[in-house]
Amino acid sequence: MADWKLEEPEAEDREDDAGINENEKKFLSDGIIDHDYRLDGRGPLDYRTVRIELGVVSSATGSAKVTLGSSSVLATAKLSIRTPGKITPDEGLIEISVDSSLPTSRRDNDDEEDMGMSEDEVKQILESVYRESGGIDKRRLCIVKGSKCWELFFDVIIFEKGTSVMDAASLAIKAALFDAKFPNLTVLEEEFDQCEVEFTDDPFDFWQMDVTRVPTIASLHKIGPVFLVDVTKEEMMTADASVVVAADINRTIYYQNTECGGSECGFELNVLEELVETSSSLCQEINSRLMKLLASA
Amino acid sequence: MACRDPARQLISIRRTNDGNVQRVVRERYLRNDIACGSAACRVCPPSANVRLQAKPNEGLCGKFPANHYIAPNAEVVVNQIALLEHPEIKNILIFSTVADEVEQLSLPAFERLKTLCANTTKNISCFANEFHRDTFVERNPKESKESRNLRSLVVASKWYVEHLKHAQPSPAVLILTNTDKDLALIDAPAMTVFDYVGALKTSEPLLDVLAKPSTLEDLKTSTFHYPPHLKPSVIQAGLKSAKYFQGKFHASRENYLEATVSVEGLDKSVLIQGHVSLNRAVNEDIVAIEIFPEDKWSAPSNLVLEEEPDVDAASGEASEENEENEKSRQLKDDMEKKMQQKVAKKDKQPTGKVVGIIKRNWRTYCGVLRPKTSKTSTRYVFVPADRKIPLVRVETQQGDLLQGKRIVVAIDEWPRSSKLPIGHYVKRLGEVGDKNAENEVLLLEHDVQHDKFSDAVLACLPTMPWILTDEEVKKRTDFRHLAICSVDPPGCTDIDDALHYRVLPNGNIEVGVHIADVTHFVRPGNAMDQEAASRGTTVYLVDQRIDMLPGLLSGNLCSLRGGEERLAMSSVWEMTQTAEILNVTFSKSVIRSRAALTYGEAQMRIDDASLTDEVTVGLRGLNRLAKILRARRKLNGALFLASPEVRFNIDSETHDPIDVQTKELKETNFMVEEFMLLANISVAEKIHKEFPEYALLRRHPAPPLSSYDPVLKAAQSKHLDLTAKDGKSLSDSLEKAYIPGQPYFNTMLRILTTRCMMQAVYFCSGTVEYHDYQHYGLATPIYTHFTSPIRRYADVMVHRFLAAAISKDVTYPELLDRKVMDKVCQNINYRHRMAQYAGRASVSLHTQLFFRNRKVDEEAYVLFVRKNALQVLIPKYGLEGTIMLSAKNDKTDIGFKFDQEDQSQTAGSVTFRTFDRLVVQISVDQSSLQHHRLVVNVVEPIIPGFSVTPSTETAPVGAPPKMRKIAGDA
Repeated sequence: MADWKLEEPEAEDREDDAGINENEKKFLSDGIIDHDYRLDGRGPLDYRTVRIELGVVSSATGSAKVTLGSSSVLATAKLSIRTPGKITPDEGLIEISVDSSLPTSRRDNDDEEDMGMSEDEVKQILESVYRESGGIDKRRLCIVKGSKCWELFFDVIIFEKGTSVMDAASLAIKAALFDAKFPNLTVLEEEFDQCEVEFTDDPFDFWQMDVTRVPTIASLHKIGPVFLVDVTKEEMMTADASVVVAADINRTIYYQNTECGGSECGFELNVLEELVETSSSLCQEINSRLMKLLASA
Repeated sequence: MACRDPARQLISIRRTNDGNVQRVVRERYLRNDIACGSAACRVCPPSANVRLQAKPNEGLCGKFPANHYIAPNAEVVVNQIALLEHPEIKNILIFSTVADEVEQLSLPAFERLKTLCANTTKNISCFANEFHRDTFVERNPKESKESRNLRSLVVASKWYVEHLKHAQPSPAVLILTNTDKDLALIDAPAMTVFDYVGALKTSEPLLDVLAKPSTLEDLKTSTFHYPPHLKPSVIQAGLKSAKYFQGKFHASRENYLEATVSVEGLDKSVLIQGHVSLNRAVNEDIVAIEIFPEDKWSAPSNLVLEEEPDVDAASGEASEENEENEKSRQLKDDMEKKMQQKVAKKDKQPTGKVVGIIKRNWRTYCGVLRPKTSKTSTRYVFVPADRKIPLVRVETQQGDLLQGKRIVVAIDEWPRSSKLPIGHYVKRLGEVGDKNAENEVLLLEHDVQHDKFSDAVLACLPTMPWILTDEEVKKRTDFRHLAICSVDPPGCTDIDDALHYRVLPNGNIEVGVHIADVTHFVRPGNAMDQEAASRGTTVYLVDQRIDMLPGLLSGNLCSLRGGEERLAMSSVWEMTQTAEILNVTFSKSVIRSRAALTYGEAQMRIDDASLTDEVTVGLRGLNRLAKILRARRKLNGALFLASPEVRFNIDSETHDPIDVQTKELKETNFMVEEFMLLANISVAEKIHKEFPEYALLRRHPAPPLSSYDPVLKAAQSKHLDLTAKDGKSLSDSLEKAYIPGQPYFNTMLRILTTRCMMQAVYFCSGTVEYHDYQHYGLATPIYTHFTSPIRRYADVMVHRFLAAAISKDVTYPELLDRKVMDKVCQNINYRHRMAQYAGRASVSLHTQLFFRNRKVDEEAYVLFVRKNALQVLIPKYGLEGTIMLSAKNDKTDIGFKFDQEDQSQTAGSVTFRTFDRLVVQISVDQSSLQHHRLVVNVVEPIIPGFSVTPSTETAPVGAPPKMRKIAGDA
């Protein structure tokens, strides 16, 4: 009888499409720095095609699905009626949850060079932008001061996590908020500091929030002196720094976070100024285009 | 052929309890093959469900002479269901839109609508327009649900007309609305229900059957009699924060301005006093109350307020502030002030006010109309027969016709601006004082199911002639050779128990109790069983018996008649000569009773020494043993109590009035009672042993010692010491409490003691601790009812347990389900209580008939001394009456003074205390056509200005109807 042998499975070739060598990196960065051209022919501040679907979840108050490059995100908005906090009696509440529908094997693979960010990071940034920094004006969620307010709950589900998942998530939230139908309320007489609100069961009896001033998030990567938006995986590998900025249509900045791709150099002040300039104007443009798009919906 | 459209999405928004906003999304598939249900239709496939006539309502309505179906909207169904139920209203189309809306608006109305639709003899058809492709209506943006439903109604009715246009003649569809506000929006034939009914050519005017549209007086009038009710949402918030409490509202029978609310979790029920605090709650409503701070607590007033002063709410026209009303208000305020007098601190109990109604439990009420005061008005005051229900304002065109009639009225609403609730006339039962009408009233009022047994129930009966098969005999113990006999009241047709006695060869005695084997015929879960379970008990009225089981069973197959072979459940004891029980066996058996005797006949046989036949010898033996058993029970502390209403009343099984003088309980009564008790106890032990968790038992809790206080106090006033620390000492001291020269005193004492007792109740053994099983009155640790399965459902259940325990029958899931058993117990307890009330009401009704046109002087004794009245007992008739001491009109108010400590009333030199003897005059007040009632006045002692002159009539021959003394709790 021949020798039986248990063979180790061969290690998978990790040189997948995300890994590129130095030559490729050089080629890529040269093209961008010298000729303002990216591998797929886009300009530095061009997004790939953005697709937005409104109202995809009919049982939610508002919902939107955004596909951006290789990222795909669904945001649903739900409403509850709550009592506002003691310190901020005239403000409503906002909660955000982020979940991923990726198979666990892909989600938790620590080895993988992280393409974007973890769900926790996404959640943290979204909360910071929309809840903490006033990205959504919570005073507009007040119903009766000190007694009743709306609680806006966003469920963000990541279907595909690409490089621009942050951008896609913010667009999805803004679009879902635009789609959200707040029932019109009747406030019943107040007695003993208690009041009650009622709404009809009519699905058409609603108001919508003006979302013009709600910020969106842009994540930029820097290759040489050039800032790129919606990078490909190759570009991300090549980039020496990145920044995440949230700004609204008036170029007001709500959030900013920089990262220097492992190298020790920080941003120089003039670069930082340029970055802020670039990103805020980018956000301005994205927002105005989004609003145009939504208005046509 | 069924063809489906793609689904329509229906979205609505609702709020969940925890505050979430939920969008409910439903998909609905529409069909095109829903039949219209009209006999005129040639298009729809033939179906068994064609209810609508081909030539509907031809010329019925003066305003709409064409053939037509009527399509009521939801408001009409909710408010005017009585109209739709009327036999002369036919060809009704109920659209599913309407049915859905009714379900939302009012569940009781929806239930009645369902019953109505299930009635195949009524021309009523339900059409599922919501599911039909051509009649489905989508809600438009910004459209209210109501107007969408209205639109849907119009679309559906037009579809019908279109659908039936080829029929000869083609019928129209007339939409009925409750108010005219919708009429303008309907572009189809439509009318308000009032216009329609007004123009109907029916045999009696139906307009009164209609409920008036809700009055908007609330907004107009400036005078409100009651504070507003809080909004449901505010109540909910208040209940959560324990600011308010939820409970059931129990109006007081004696004082219409007082009520209690039982709140779950509070030991004491909460007292509500005064019309503002009562705030329009009606008996049995579920209300939200606020409890006052402790310094505002009060005590029950002890006042007897029988009826609202006559002038009050004369015609209920609250808005007209006339002088009379003013006067009545003062009077009312007076009463309320009196009630608010300072009360001793110890008597105080939690007091509160009603802040809102959580659920109305209005039903229809029986009663009479009070004659109107003004000639032109169509408004009347309706006096309900149940004193817990407030007077109701009723508007009717047929007022003159309804005078002096027993009628049924439904309450519609109770706005703040109206002192009285507003209701409408539903139906007429008959003349006041007419026995049938009055019987109907008391059956309705006591929720006694008295319809004929349905076909489904009768189908469960065995086919006649019923033959005892050999097969059946083989399964059973054959007792046909024994000298079994039954002893019952004369004329009894439902004989459920029989006895036998024989001496065994070893010198011991064998005693058998044989009970009709009802469960052989009534199988669990079938229609007959369900009906019996729901009826719970046979109800005995003075002249009528409402059976729990169909007559074939109760009067024949289950009745252990003499000389006939019958199936039985037997309990057979072996005892010593001194009635010590050695063992007991239970079996299913076949018996042949040798004789069905009456108590009198049995007694005669025992006394006639010349008779030595087997039956007579057996009876003598049983009688001897019964005496021993009875003495033993007395020794154990069993109470032998008396209560006037049972003691002096009619023989319930024969319905023959028995003369008071000759009515006495014979030894044989006690003999039968003793063995029934023995059987019940033995069976209770057996089924509890076999089914400790589920057995149906009966318990009688010991009353709290404090409840004896009134009796002890009263006895002390006669210098007699009663002890009540346990049943035994109470029984013994009652035995000794005699006053020479007052033979009736001891009976009175026993009557009073009975009043202190708790109700005996059925329960499921798994729900109560063992030491609480005790039957206080009978002084036995465990007890049940086994001996009357023909007339009590509890016994039926016990038979099933026993049969399963001796492996002669199988158990079934419901039998071994504590929850189900608990429900069964609750129902039979309720039915039992109601049956007792109905029986008493029937007796008092007949008493009243008896005293009509008579004025009789009789001896009476004071039972209770109240703040403004005396309650007296008239032994001869077993009657209880109330003598008002401070009447409404001033001339009889001669200033009685009430002494709370002494429990006495004094006027001048005369003092009334409990047990005092007086002579009273009994008559029936017929002065007003409404409530005939028994009036009791004092003749002796003579109190100038108060007592009346002795009657010249002699006591009537014969006696008022009586009820047989139901032996203890057998």
